[in-house]
Amino acid sequence: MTAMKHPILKTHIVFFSLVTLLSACAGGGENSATSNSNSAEQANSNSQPAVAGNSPDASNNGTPLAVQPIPAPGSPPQPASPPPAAVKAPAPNKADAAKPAPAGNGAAPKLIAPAKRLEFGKQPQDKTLVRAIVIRNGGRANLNVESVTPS
Amino acid sequence: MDFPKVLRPGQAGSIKVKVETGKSPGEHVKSVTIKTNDPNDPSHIVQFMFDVKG
Repeated sequence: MTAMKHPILKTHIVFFSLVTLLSACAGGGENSATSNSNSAEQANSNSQPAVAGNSPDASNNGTPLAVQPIPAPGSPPQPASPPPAAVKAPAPNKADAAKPAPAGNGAAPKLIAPAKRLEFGKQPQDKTLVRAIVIRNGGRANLNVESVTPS
Repeated sequence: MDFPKVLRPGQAGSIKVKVETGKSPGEHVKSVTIKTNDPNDPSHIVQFMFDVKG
């Protein structure tokens, strides 16, 4: 953890010092040259480690153009972008999990029964009517008849 | 009631239903419920209508 925080602290320190340097250069036009040179030296001394970690070309020395390290603070957003990619990954998994259900329906059994209403017509009292209902399995899986109950 | 327990795809079977008309005259409706593993029609009801003469 400390190894992770250390480079971040360095970059923050570099950024802060560069901001102060910029403000000193832009606002303090009448400042003495000695103060400017000091701040430039500070920028150089601080920027070197940051440049070594980010980009190999550290050709500019002393000039305010050394502000190039500013992209270094801008780099943290790059690590922030991977999390959305990680969030996208679970979504396809959910879709895959939902697919087996339709596959099961394709092989489902199908009960084909006669009309829901059968007419016996006029019948005498105390008579037992016997009728056979023919059912068929029109599906692609076995049809299990669990129960047949009168009501 | 006699009924086939399992029907393979394409296979047919018959269910024998007996209905007692009783003594009370008039129209009567009796029904039979067929419960299967059909996901679209798990409980199929067949009704029998008859008119008992007085």
